[in-house]
Amino acid sequence: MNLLNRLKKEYATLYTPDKESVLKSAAGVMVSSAVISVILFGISTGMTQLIGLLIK
Amino acid sequence: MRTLKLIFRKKNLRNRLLLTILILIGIQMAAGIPTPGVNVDYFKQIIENNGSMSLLNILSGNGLGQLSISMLSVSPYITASIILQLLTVVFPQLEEIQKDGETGQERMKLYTIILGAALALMEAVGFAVGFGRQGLLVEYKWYWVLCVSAIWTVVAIIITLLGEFIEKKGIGQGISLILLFNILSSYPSDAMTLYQKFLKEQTVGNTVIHLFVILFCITLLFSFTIYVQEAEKRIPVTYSQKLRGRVMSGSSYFPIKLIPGTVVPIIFASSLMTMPTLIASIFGKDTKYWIFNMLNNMKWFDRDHPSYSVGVIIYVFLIFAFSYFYTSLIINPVDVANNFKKSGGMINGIRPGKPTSEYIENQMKYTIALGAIALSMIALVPCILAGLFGLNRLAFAGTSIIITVGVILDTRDKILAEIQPEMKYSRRSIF
Repeated sequence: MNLLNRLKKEYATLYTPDKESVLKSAAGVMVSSAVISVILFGISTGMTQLIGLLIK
Repeated sequence: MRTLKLIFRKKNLRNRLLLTILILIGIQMAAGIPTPGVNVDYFKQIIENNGSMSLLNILSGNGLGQLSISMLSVSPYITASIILQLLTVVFPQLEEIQKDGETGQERMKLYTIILGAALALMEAVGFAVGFGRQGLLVEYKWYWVLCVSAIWTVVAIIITLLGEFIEKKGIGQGISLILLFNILSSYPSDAMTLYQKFLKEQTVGNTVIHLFVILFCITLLFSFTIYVQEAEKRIPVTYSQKLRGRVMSGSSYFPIKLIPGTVVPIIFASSLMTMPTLIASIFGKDTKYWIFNMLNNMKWFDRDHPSYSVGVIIYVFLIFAFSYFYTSLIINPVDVANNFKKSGGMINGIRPGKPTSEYIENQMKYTIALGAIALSMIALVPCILAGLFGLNRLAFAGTSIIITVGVILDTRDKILAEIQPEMKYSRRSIF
């Protein structure tokens, strides 16, 4: 119980980013991840097609 | 949009960014080239049933699953850098080199590349010999072992050198960016998995509700990771120095990140737990015993076999242990106290020297415990999803999300720093 209280106290003293900036960053990370992954999907599909053609 | 315009207006930055993107795309193309002489489907089954192997697969950009020429990718380099960091404890000479400014850092990088190359060779030969006779190679002959090992090793070295090249001539941390692209290349298959599990053959109403819940959970997961990565303990420090007879004073703070070791404790913990299964597999032993299932994080939270979940306790314990261990390697309270003393800094109400180092150590103890709790929560998400919903490891969850968030935010900050003068009114608005 003591340890739990100590951890709670410790958490209260932490510097934490505000809700708005966290959500903004999360949206940014998610959008950029989605965009890059779609481009990478295109490349990987293209490569599979190309290798398939080369093997034929 | 404004930021993008600013980036493309700066010729130097634009060229470096394009070079980085071109190299990263080139590496991804290599991940699609299969290795000659191997059964490309050999690892698929193993990866689906083993959490840590599937993590390795995600980190290699699905190279392991497809047995492509870039199968090892940057993983030997990452292992090498962790090993070298650990060796600094054993060999003080290495620690001295590390502290020797830019020259020392360059030397350490060179050692990491050399050790990474040696590890790549060992891993490649280990895979080719160990799994080769079990069906990985189409024909288990010495020349195929040699050829396949040489391809995997050389490609891993080239990828590592390209990562270093990005760091010098491009933008961002090359190795981390390669790792990020490897992870992101698995996102489309994640989307497909989620679609097939929760959205396929549902009514329109259910589809909308499920989609909303999935998006909400993903946003929550990303937000929590960002929150944890940016949270820190700030210890106020007051500086006073005599400069030309005048006493100058100022105040600042000493930051202790909530998770100073980022993903390293999770990687250590999961590697240690996979080791027995991996060794047994290489020697062709049966891995269906309870102990192996208990160590496999894909088997936890399984309602049919609750006893396998004992592994969770060991996993969390290891994450805690490695969080403390790794933090002790990267933050030395005695060094910090000495640096304060040299620069005329003092923690308010604490005497310089030993009391300062003891105070920092005490503060770190609880901050690291909180960080380890947060790390365990993030690390267990993919295991819970696998156990409760039968979802195989999703690339965006667990270790990968910490890497994704960390690398994207770091690259964003680096780009922002380059266009700082123009961004003085809209700092942090790249997204």
